[in-house]
Amino acid sequence: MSSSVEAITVLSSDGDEFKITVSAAKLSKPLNWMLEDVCFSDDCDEVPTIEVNSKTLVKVIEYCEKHAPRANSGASDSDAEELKKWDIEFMKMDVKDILFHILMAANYLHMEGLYDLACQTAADLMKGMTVSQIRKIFHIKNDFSSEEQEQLRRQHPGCSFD
Amino acid sequence: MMESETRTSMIENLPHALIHKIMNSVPYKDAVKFSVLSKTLHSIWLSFPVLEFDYTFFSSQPYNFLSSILETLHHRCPHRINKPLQRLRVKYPYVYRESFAFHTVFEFLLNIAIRNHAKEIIFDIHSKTLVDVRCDSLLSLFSSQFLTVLQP
Repeated sequence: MSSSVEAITVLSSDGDEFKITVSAAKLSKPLNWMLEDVCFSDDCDEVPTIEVNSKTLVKVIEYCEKHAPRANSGASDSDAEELKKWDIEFMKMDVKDILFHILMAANYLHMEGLYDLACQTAADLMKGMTVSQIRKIFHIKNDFSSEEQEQLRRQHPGCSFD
Repeated sequence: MMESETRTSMIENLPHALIHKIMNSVPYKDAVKFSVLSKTLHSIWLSFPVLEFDYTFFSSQPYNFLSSILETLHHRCPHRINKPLQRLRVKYPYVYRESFAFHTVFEFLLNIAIRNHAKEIIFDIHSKTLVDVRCDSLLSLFSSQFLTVLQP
């Protein structure tokens, strides 16, 4: 591997090319291993594919580039505060379209920070919601009969599902 | 059946560990809701490695609290055989009522937690009398290699 390389090119599962800086790619363990194993110099033709679709990969790379400086050098409290605000804005996304894709990608790319953030976002969306509201938010189809539903509710007599 | 009807939602296709993490990130009373959302999520709920029993939901009906504990164990323990329990939490913020055999239940739960190698055991119990736990359960509790948090 050439140590002079500052950014690498990767392919999304849709076949689009994306550039990601080396310091940002280090946030992901598999990408980091790839950096060590694969030749990323200019005369190398091999472009690794990441099994994440383009729309999701754009967001993942955006997250990595934002978090890389802090992850690599450590940051002051004011930086951490700013990053927290940025994370909240970053996570304002459509659930069906992208949040769960981000979760899958963070899981697949072993990105702990993004994984925790996306899980917390999904959790916050359902906190205090009724069962039918949660189904609507996450696009879940109720495949229980009303008798089954009633039986399940009886197993948790103390809990309100409405 | 139309294809759109057979397709499951994105959340149902996530790895179980990921859904368990989401369950663990909401209050337990919200996590319980996963059990009635859909059949797929119900089966994932059954293997959720956290058990919580909160008496405050049942304060007017103590017998329901006991039956709820038994129901939960009956439904979820078979799915949990040989899998370590992440957390067992029991909340009973009142002084014992002698008429109900709570101490037996708590001892029973403690034994379940120990047998399932629970990492966290939280007994949130306000009682004037100490929970009467038999010596052998305490011994195995303190010799547990898995326990990381214990809040009596």
